[in-house]
This record gives sequence, structure tokens and C-alpha cells, in this order.
Amino acid sequence: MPDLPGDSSVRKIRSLCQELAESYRLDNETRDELCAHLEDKLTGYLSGEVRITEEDALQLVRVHFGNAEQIARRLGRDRSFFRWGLDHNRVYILLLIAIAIIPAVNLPYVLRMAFSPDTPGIRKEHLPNVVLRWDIPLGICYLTAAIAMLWFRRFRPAAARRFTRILNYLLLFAPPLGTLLGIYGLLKVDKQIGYAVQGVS
Amino acid sequence: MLALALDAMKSKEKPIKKELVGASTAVLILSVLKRGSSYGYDIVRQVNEEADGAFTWQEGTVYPVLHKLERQGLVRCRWQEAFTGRKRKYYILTPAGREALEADTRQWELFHQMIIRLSGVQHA
Repeated sequence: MPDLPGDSSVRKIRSLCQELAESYRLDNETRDELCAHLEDKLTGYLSGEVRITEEDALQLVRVHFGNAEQIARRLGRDRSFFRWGLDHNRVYILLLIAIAIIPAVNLPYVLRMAFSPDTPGIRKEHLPNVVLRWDIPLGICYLTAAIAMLWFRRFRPAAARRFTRILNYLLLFAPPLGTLLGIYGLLKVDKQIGYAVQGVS
Repeated sequence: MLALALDAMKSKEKPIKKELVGASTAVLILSVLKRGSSYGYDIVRQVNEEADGAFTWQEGTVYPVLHKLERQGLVRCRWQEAFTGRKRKYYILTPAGREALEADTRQWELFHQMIIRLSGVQHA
């Protein structure tokens, strides 16, 4: 004879079925039928007649763990932003994008000035040579580096580490923002264990 | 019929699609009841056992179908007390249910044969 569920479990099952019946206006016969099903299932588990499936086991794990969302929220609240929360990799990428976007935004205007000297109101002579000599190639380099960095971080996390290191050394020769970012990158980026494998996404 | 439907659907490589399982619920229930009267829990158990992992019925979903079959007169029911003292609602195939099962089986066979013909895939 299989192990039967205890009175307390049976009471819980019946109360659940009663709630369902009231909520969904089920007749007593349907309610009793559902109760019998749940009791049979419980009996099956208790007697070992029904093997627990992986999905069942996973549900049990979830139930025993508690409200995962609430726990995660509490854990997140306990983390100090400055101690653990500052993600240097993310900050680095954001800064790289920022210094790439600024020249990129100006790039069409600078190019227009450089290659269309006849445009009314714009004269090539107004443009200091240093702008043409540095701004255009530098802007293109920053933009390419930012796009390449995002691509590597997303699709080739392992190679992204090497790429970042090379980029940081190159950035040292692009003062002032590039130099600062290069130093920051060399000191702080990819220092967390396993970060290069996970990427930043 | 049950064996035929399950053999057709059974696949060790991939679980059977939910839509296919959903469309065959009624015919699977009628097939189980052809073997003899049974109750919801046992019907689910028999089908899941035969499916051998090819799919798993969500247990509760069998009851709306059973009740629909009852309303259509394809099954009738009676309450019976088990040795544990628990009362169970047994479903019994009616003559109309038997006819419906035969018709459904023919349709399944035709459908199955058509797929085999069209796809050119023949399993042993």
C-alpha cells in the first residue's frame, strides 16, 4: 500500500481546490475531481511511484530558495557603488565612445571645410592646419577603435582583452583625452577575473 | 490507435511540438479509454508513460478536454471509491466515442500517410 499524504497536506490540497472552485465558479464535482488528481499525484511522489522530473526538481529548488527577485534586490541594495558597483570596463567603453563621438559629430563639418573651399562663408584658410592634420584622422581612428572595441567585446571577448591593451598603448600618444583614457585603461580595465571571457554585455 | 499515434510522434531527437500534442489530446484520451475506464490522473500517467519522454502532458490540461468529451457524449463518467477511500471520477468510452475514435484514427492515418508520401521520408 502506497504512503498516503498526511492530513495536513490533504487539507492544503482541498483548500487550494476550494479556492480554485470559488474563483472560477467550478462545481463541486469538478473541484473533487481536481482534488483527487492532486492527492493521487502527491501519493505517487511519496510512494516513489512517480519519479521526480528535472522540471519538478527545479521548481522545488526555486520554492526552497525563496523569492529570488526579492533576494536579488536586497543583495543589490547591500552593494556599495564605489566599492563594488563601479564597472571600469563599462566606464572605459563609455569614455571611448564619448571621445569618438565628439570628433565624429564635427567630422562632416570639418571635411566640408577641407574639401569645399568654395562654399559661401567658409574658407579653407580659416581652418588651422593642425585641425586638418590631426582632427580628421584622429576622429576616424577613435570612431574605428570604438566600433572595433564594441564588436570585440560582443563577439570575441577573449581577443577583446589583447585589443584593449594595444589600444591603450596607442591612446597614450593622443593627448590629452586619449592619453588619460589610455592610462585609465592600462590601470583599471580587464582587471576583474573572468571579465575578458564574459565580455561586457 | 494510441500506439500508432505515439509511434508516429515519438522521437528521441527532439521533443514533439506543443501544437501537435495539443491537437491530439482528445484522440489520445479516447485511445486510452478504449483500453478500459480510467480517471484523469491515470489517463495522464498512461499517456506520459507511452510517450516515453517524447512529450509530457501538462496534467491539468486534460480535464477541460475530458469535460468537453463528456458534454459531446463521447465519454460518460461515474464516481468510484478507491481502496484508499478516495473517490475518483472514472471516464468510460461511449459507443459514440468509439465511433469518433475510429473516425479520428482514420483521419490520422490518412494525414500520416500523406505526410510520408509528400516528404518522401520513411522511417522503419
